Amino acid sequence: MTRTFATGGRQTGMARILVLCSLAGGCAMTGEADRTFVVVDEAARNAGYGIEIDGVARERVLPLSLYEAEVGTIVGPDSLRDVPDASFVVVSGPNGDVTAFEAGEVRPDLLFVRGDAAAVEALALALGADLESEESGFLLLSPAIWEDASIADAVEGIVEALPASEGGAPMHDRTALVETAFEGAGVLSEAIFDALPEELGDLVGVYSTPGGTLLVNAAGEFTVCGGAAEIESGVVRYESGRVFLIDRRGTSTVLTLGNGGRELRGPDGTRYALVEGP
Amino acid sequence: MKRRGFVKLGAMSAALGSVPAFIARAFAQDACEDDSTRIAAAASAYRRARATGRPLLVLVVPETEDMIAYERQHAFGEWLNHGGDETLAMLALTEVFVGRMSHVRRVLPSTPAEDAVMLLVETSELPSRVVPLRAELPNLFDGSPWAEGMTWEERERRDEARIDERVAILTSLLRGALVPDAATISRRVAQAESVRNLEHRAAVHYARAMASSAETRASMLHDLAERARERLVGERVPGSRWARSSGCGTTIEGEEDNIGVACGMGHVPARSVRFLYFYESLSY
Repeated sequence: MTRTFATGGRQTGMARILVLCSLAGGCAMTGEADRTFVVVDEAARNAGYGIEIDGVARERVLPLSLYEAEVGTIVGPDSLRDVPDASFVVVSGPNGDVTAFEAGEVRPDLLFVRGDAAAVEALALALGADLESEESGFLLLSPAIWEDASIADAVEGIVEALPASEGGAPMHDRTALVETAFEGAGVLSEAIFDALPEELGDLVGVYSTPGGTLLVNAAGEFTVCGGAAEIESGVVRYESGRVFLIDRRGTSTVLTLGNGGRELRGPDGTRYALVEGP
Repeated sequence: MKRRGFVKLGAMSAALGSVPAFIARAFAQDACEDDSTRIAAAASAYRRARATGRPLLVLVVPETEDMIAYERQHAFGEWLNHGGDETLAMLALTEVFVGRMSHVRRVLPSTPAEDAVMLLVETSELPSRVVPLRAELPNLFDGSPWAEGMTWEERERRDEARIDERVAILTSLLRGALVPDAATISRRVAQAESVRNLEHRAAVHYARAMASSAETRASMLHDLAERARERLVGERVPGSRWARSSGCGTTIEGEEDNIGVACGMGHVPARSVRFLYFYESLSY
């Protein structure tokens, strides 16, 4: 049974993101190059694995935030390894397997948490996150959930915190990536969709402004073309009249449908008109 | 896994109000590549097919502008103009578009790389399945019949036989992919019935025709064929233009300013005179 409620009240995460967005001219949801979030799952911790930052052991169930200037080390019963340079790193299982994820591979606004319900609800309240219960745990939703969780006080009763896939599944390793993986630098795999919403087919087309084009294809992918070059691509999602373009870095841009589906409108009012073929 | 609206909207709602930076970067640059118009044409055809509850049939323009293209545009002309009721009735079930596979592939990434004569795009599915229809079409304009010592009559007989063969091959390809069995026809009917415009429900009429007696079937297929002729023979097929050539010069229908181009192909059989000009800069 799924249960959802909003805790409200805490808007700092969203506010911070919007400020960052306006400063940067875009909205990189998370996974900035100078930051790595690290988690160690329950099995790895029980086997003796942990994280040191600049030589200081950090025992923590919730994510750790590791900045570029800091030295992160995965410490095992009989091993020492550097924390890889990635946006998200998971140390999992009794052998301390290390899996690195880039920003586009992990939902930046979701954290999968296991623990007793009261503890998780307390954590959600502290983080200002929405909470949904799953069969195997809970999902916390908040725009800056990783950053907020990395600085939150420990909550007794929380057993494990992990990245979540597009569908909300906990991600210990790459086997959970089938829903969200971007394959290489080329066309995205159709396998990332378990089912494309029918409405996506109605979005297929070339949209234009005087300086370039946006192509939405029938596999739920988009390409932005400037000049003769392809300069951006990613996946398209559709929800209640809103079109979400999610680029390879995980940046989401929301557009709305207008003019009976014959144009897309950007958040700044820019109109991208459907180009009708001859 | 069944997705939840909560999950889907979560990350995205955070981006509300963000500036679409990469789009701004793109549109600040020069105009897009010339092919964008042709890609847009392919996308429009796909949208029309979906909107009318039909699969999309792509008559493929070869990537190279050579004799293969020349032969194929005539083969398509023979097929559409002289294909008979059965062929045209099947075509009534489809949205037809003429284009290069490289352009179609931008809209439908599963389009194969290897050349095909036609593509059938199943628009009721997402991602849409692209079925390549491949066959070797006999050439009409190769060789030198006169040098081979053929009489005029012999050449005419050879040309007519090859045209018959090309028409038969194209019809067979289409039948095998579009209406191979009752189950597929039922699927076409279901897709057709999903749209509101009754005019587009050719699949419904086709299914009824196939379930009728021979005489009634012929009459119903003729009606369907006439609808297809009106759309595909009487008007321009999207992505191409109708043109005529008797071997010396080409006249593009609807163009005021037709300029004669190089002669050299000599005789063109009567059924091949009207052909699908591929709307590209063919150097003939």
